[in-house]
Amino acid sequence: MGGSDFPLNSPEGANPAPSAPNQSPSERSWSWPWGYLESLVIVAAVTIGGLIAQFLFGPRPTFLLSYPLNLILALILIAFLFLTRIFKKVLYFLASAPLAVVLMAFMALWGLAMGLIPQLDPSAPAPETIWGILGFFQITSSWAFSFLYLLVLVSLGATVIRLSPKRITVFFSHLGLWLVLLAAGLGAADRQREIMRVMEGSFEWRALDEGKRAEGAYKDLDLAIRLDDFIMEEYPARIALFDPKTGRSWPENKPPVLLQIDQAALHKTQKLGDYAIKVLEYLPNAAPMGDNRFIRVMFQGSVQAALVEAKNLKTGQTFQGWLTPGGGRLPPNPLILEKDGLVLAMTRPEPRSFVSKVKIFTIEGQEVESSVSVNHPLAAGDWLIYQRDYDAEAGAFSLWSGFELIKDPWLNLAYAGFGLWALGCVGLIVKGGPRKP
Amino acid sequence: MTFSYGLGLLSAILWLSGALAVLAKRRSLGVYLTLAGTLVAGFLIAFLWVKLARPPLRSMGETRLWYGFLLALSGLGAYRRWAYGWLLFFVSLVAGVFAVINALRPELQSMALPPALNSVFFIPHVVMYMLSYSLLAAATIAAIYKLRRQGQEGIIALKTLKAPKDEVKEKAAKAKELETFIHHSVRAGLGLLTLGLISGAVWAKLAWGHYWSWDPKETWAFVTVTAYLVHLHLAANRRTPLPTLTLLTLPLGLLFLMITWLGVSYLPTAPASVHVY
Repeated sequence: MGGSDFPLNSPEGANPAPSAPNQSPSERSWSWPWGYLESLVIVAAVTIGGLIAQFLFGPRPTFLLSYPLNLILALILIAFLFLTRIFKKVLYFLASAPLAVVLMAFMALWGLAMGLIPQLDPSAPAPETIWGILGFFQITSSWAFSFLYLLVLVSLGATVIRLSPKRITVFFSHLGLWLVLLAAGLGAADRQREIMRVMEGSFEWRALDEGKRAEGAYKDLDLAIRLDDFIMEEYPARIALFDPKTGRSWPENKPPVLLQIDQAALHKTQKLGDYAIKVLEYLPNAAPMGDNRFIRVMFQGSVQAALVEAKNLKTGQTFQGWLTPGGGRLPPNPLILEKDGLVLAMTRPEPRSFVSKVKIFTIEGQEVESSVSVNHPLAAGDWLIYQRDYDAEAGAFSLWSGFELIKDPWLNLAYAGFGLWALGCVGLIVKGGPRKP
Repeated sequence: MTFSYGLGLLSAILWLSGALAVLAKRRSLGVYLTLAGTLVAGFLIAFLWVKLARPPLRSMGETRLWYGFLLALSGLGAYRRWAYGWLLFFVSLVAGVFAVINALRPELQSMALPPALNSVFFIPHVVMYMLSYSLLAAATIAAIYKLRRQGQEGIIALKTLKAPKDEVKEKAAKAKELETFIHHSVRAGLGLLTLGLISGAVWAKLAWGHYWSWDPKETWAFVTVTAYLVHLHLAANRRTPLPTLTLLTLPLGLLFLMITWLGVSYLPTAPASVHVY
């Protein structure tokens, strides 16, 4: 494969350095243009410098990358990149493939460490071991990782400056990735995340203060949410054998065998352990009626229920009864299969969707009436509002809805980056690379 | 034995016998058998889609089904274009092995799709990844084949000094063709891999609130993409000292890829992941 794709480090024309005649660049270290050896030394030195800084000063403080310091750093970075256009040799080295390869290899090593060592929250105290002190449990907030990340931004930025925009595929991928890394890295500390729980039919403007979660403290936000309705749809329930002594599904230590119970399963016999199960009746909306009997109802607060018959294939004994997973104030109703103590029970139905109908009031007077659901956040003011959770015990009967509010001033920059990067990838697929080898 | 289980087993048998046929130099029979296995797997995907009333992409077994299908499909496409018998052999073999794994680990196919997966990104995200995995697997097979050939050629090189010129030329042309194949499959594979990652990031922003959280699966995806980027930059740079190293990054990348896809659940970092299923 030729080197025609990335002429980032081609010595010809790009290298006015007075290197000694009859000596190829690779033969003499630290003469321009720098290559793999010089890159390796520099990147290793930056890493070791980061580890020493970690040892001396502890983890990198968050405020160093918060507004306005992160913005200043971004401007310095861009100014520096444009300045390198004067010092061409520096620019060519920073944009060179050898430096990129070595940097990526080191970043991949940090990635491997992160993928193998369970990471702690950056705000948590690090363990008092040598690995803990050197930041291996909080890699993303360690000095070494941050220095390398910055060097990646420098090297990638230099590449963008060097590349001709005419080579659109390569240019878009590099510029896109650079924008994403800039927004993700320098924007990390500016991201704000709040958690709010709203009761149905009422207003809320206070978020749970994560820092003082233990004291149950709240803080006021610049917007209020009114929860008008919380609607949850469920999948048809399923049934399984349970051991009442352990409360777990049977057989133990195996993934539960679940039978789907719905209209399609009616009057069919399905095998479950030693039992043949037949669904005689299925009511998606039911309420108990008198002595262990269920009827179809049309009001809110109904539960799923099914009349089933279980035949023990070994003894021939037959059991019949109504099953319901319960919900609201209604307890679950299992079928007791006496002999071995097993019971047949309906599992809690899985949610198909849950939606909160809300009205948002921002402090500036903006009012938004809409709904929030998983995968469909709602924008109001500077916030994106996400459906987070609900009262899992109550399920569809939940009286409150939990929201996550996220503010990320750098988000549009990241999206722009993702867009350009994706276009670059399409080019890579379609053309199989910028030029044929 | 259910109908879908039978179809899965049938595709396994067809693919494995396809691989055997190629090995026995019955190439056109191998193509037909592999094609038949692929059609059966494609039918199985369609059947499950209708039966479960959702795209069959949720569980590990379901992604393995897509992988086998797309791997065999890209292998057949590559065979049509390049006529590499060894590639067809490995592709049928790997697709067959994955189908056998699925037959050995039958899953209970639940109809339930958690709300987080109910998104326009769900299908493109997984399908682009599976297609990319199959292309990168093909590139790795080619890289290992080339590494072996290079080892042999070192010995042959001395003999070819006396060989007729046409023979040397032909060998050089074949080596060049193999390079082109690796070049194209890596680039298409990496492009799709990155598109899978970008679509996943945008989806994560909509579903979880942030586009990148260093979740273990994301971390391993980062390592994988970075490894392939290293390959791309090594391959594109004419001052690369070791061409063998460039080729070796491909099996390494595939190892990371397999950890990302199948291995993360077994790592000490797994409990923190929202991607374990």
